[in-house]
Formats: sequence, C-alpha cells, structure tokens
Amino acid sequence: MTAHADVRTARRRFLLIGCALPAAITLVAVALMVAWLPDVPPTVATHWSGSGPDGFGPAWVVPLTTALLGFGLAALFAGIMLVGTRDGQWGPMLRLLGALSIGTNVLLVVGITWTFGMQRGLADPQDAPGVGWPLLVSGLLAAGAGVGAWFAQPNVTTDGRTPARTVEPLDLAAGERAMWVRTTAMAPAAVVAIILSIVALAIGTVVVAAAGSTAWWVMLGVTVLLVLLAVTTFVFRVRVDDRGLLVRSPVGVPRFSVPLAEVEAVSVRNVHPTAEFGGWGIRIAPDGAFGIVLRAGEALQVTRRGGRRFVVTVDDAATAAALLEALSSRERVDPPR
Amino acid sequence: MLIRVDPASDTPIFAQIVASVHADAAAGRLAAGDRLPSARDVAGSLGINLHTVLRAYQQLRDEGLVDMRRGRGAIVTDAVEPLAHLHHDIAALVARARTLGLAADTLAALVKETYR
Repeated sequence: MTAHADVRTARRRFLLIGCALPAAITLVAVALMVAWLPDVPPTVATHWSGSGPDGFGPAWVVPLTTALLGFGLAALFAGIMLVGTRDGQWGPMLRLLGALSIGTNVLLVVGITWTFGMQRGLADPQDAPGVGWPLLVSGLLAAGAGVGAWFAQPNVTTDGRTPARTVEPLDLAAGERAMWVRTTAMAPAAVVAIILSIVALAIGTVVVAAAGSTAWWVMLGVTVLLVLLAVTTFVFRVRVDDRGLLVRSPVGVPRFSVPLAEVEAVSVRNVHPTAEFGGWGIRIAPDGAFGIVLRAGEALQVTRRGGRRFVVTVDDAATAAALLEALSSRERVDPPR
Repeated sequence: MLIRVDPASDTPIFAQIVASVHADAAAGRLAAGDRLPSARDVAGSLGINLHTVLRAYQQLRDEGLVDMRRGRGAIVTDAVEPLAHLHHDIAALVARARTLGLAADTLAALVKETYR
C-alpha cells in the first residue's frame, strides 16, 4: 500500500471515529433528552457542588447545549484535521486528536444526559441526587472510548521529515565575521483567527460578569493570559551570529537559543505543522523535537549535541543554515580557549 | 538578511556593511518596509563599534535605500526594488566572468567604465 493510500485510510478512520461517531452519540443523547422533557421539572439542576446541586436552568436549554457542544466539537476536530492535513501529511498527533475527539464527546454527552435523566419524576430540582456516579462512569467510558479510538486508528506516519537538506557552508574568510537576522511571523489568517477568538472570550467575560456570576474573574484571567501569549508568540526575531542561534520575541521574552558549541548539524526543511507538531506555536513533537512553528513550509533545523532537534519556521532558512554551518565548523576546528 | 565584515580587508568596515545590505537587496532578501536590525544588535553580533554601524546606516539613508525614524529604526524604502530586479542579471554576469577567469575587481571596473 502506498503512503498516499495509508493517509486516505487514516483520514477516513479519523472522520468515522472522531467525527461521525461523536455526532451519532450526540444525536441519540439529544433525542433521549427531548423525549424526557415532559418528565423532568421545568427548571433542572445543571451544576453541582460538593454538597448538592447549586446551579439551575430551564430544562429545554440542556438538550440544546448538548447539541451545540456535541456537533460543534465534532465539526471543530474535523476542521482541524482537514485543514491541517491538506498537504497530505499524517502523524501520531492526528491519531491522538481523533481519540481526544471521541473521548471528550463521551465525557460531556454521557455526563450531561445522565444528570438530566436522573431528574425525571422530581418535583423540585433541589432534590436532584449527587453527580459522583455519573462523573465516574462517564469519565471511565470516555477514557475507554479514547483508548479504543487510538487503537482503532492505523499507525500512519508520512515521511514529511525526510526532505531535510544539508547546505554548503557559507564561504567565510579566516577572520571574517557575519550575522544573519530575519523576522518570522504567523500567517495573517491565523493572527486574525486568534484575535477573533480572544475578542469572543473577552465579550463572554463581560457577559458573565454582567450576569453576576463569580466565574468572571477566572475568565478575565484566561483572557489576559491569552493576550499575553498571543503578543509574545505572533512574531519572532531569528538571529545567527558567532554566539549561535537565537530566537526571541520582540518583547524580549520568550527567547530560545542554541549556543554555537551545541550545534551538531544544520539543515533546511519543510515543516508540516499538524502532522509533525500537532499544530502551530511553540511546540514539542512526540519525538522530543522543539519547534517554533508559525506557519507551514521552509524552516531552519538545528540538531543539538545529543541529537535533539530545534526547528524554527523562517524564510531564507538556506542562508541562515549556510552561515550557522560555516560558524559552527569553524568553532569545531578551532574552539575558543 | 546577511551582514558580513572582514577586518583583514582593505575596504573600511562601514563600507562592507553597506555592501552587505546592497547584496541582501540584490539577492531579494530585503523587501520595502523591512526593518534593518538595530545598530546596537549589529555591533554586538559582529564585535564592532556602534558608530561604525551607524555610519553605514547613515550612508544607506543618504543613498535613499533606508528611511531612519526615531524610535522605529531603519526601514527599507521602495528604492530596494531596482536592486532586486537586477538579481538574475548580476548572477548571470558574475557566473560568465568566473568561467572566463575574470577577477571581481576587473569586472567591477569594467561595469563602472561602461556605465560612464
């Protein structure tokens, strides 16, 4: 079987297990809850604390929320997979994503449906029983579904990593000094998507605060954290000089470096973010490679002493690699005392 | 972008920086709107005097290749485009000169002579 057919099989299996199955489970759960609507009190318990139910809402909202969550998440996971593997690459990260999709679905849908169903015949939702069992059972089922989904998917890894090319070192004279710098940034579409989701979260925070819930400060914290993360990881300055490789955000932190003496090998390659790193950003791949992955495509790869790889997506990586190779081979021949 | 200086060369360091930026522009490594690294960073990376880098940047500004604004650094201007357009012609000319055994200085002198 060719790699291409393997990927097609893996993709079909992902769609079946990570998307179609969760959607089917959601459909059954929603149908059940709609059928139970006449039996439950008009206002049901929707949230529990240690001592019993402490949050309530209209009964019809529960099946609606379940439908939105269940179908929405299935569509989200399908979208991540379809967009991320347009280049025909596949890896263990996608297998994990498919397992996560069905696991999350089972946890949410079974948990919600159970706690909804156990309120049938109650006059007052205050009398709703505890959620220990529903939580435990849906958790176990979710774990089982996730593990099963992992093994039900084929283990396919395409060789997206092989086209790493080594480069000829830059022709440096004996005492010549050189530096290479370049700014690398996320694709504008990705930046827009992230900004939109942060704005949505900020609006959510305001709505929750206006509704008088105490959860608003948690959401505010998350929003502020996301803004900080976004500001410090949209753009990086990449620099090669006789101290080695430095990648830092314009703010100064975070910064990552490989000292010249640590450089074992340098190459240029194409990065497939989803298949190899499971997405974009500051990433660690399953094989331990460290990546600053802001987009797909051209990247500078440095193999450290000890074999760990450091990858940063940046244009003109060939020039950077040529210089780093020249500087590090000079260091190997004549290490500074 | 790549900046290289050879302290052993007869060409002054600041002129070597200017030549590096020209080469970057011609190789398509610089586009209009790009920002040159700060003079302090260049001086630190190459182990040279800050004023040498500033002198090079001033010459690039006098040529109109960069725009210097306080607080924003040196920004590459539209003047970079003609240099980038010549990239393939220059590469071809140099390759031809090399096969003919012509030295870089001889070629440069010939080009200057013809341009007059």
